[in-house]
Amino acid sequence: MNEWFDLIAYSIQAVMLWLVMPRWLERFTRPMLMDRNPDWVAANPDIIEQLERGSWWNRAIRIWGLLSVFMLLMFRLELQPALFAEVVARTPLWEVLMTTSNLMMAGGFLLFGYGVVSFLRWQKREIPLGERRQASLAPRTTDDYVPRWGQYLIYGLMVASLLARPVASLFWPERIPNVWGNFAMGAVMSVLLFLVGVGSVARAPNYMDRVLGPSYRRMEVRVAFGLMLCIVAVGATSLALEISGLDSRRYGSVMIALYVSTALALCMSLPTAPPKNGRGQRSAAQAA
Amino acid sequence: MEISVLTSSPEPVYEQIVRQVQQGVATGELKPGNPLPTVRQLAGDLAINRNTVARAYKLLEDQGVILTAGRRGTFVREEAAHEVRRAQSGQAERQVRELIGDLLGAGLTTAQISTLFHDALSRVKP
Repeated sequence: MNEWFDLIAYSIQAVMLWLVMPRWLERFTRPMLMDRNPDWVAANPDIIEQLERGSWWNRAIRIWGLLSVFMLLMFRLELQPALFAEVVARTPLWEVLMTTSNLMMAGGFLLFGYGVVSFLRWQKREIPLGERRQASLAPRTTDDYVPRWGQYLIYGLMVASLLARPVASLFWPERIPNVWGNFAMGAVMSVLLFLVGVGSVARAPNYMDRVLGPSYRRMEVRVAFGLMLCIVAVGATSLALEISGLDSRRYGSVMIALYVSTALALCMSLPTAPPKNGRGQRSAAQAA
Repeated sequence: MEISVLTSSPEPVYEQIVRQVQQGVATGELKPGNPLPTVRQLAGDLAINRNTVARAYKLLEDQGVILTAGRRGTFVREEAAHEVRRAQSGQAERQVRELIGDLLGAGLTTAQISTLFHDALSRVKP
């Protein structure tokens, strides 16, 4: 595989994450605040207008996206600063690109997370909750979205996938390095995805539930369980490649970058405004 | 069934929840055996304290309207409609007693109060 392909996959991922997604998320600012307190939004048009024009955070995220593409291109063209020359000289180009992409992604996520936390804290501090609140008296459980046998199957596969690496290392110790590091990483990812699944069921109804009706939460929960399966598949494939003596990191990393870009593109293709015939709002009443 | 609460209302939020669940049972929107959301879910969705929902559920349980069956969840009881009618008539009786007490305190005689009630009732359309 040509390294230009790696560059394109990582660049698309950076553009989707740090340029396209923040722009797409801007449209949810007003509805999110309306959900919290419509009276406050009506009384503070200046603040809303200012928020919709874009914040320093939004601009910083976009600059980070451009910087990520620039860095990848610089390393691909081997125009890196002298500081990195020695490291680059003894590392395969695909690994340089993969590491650059991962480091820039980590930085981007820190910046993104900081912005989200700051916005939520500002919202909590400045905007009182609306006085009138609604809720459904229908209980929600994971069983409503994923059959019980499916949940047990996916949880079982996750546990098996976690245990597979240490067990395989007993048989092929020379081919499977860093067993416990990878085990810890897999365990953290599994717990995080489990919490995302549980959280998707438990969270309060939001703007998207009102736009898309009950199908939105169903999709959210199923995507979380789909990601758990994805982790299992990636873990099993990379383990199989390692046992066969192949380095799976390059293919795995490029595949994940393409998966992230495709998943974001699919998410962004969903409607983000209530349908004009009001079907969304009516069905949203049953959403919770 | 949807419920709504108004946090600025003089009626406490837990009483608003109790009243709306009772109404749901009385109108048949909530049927015997229907499950109710957990305290955590309802408190989260309404953005109120869990103790408020727990207090409402406790009151409904004491009234015999709902049944908490441990980890299986909370359900509308079989005899909930009957219990709601009993609770509502008990509540109505208390309100009438309070009103009569106030009217007696204001100097009206029992005969005058009785006439007032008869007149008011005759004006109520069935």
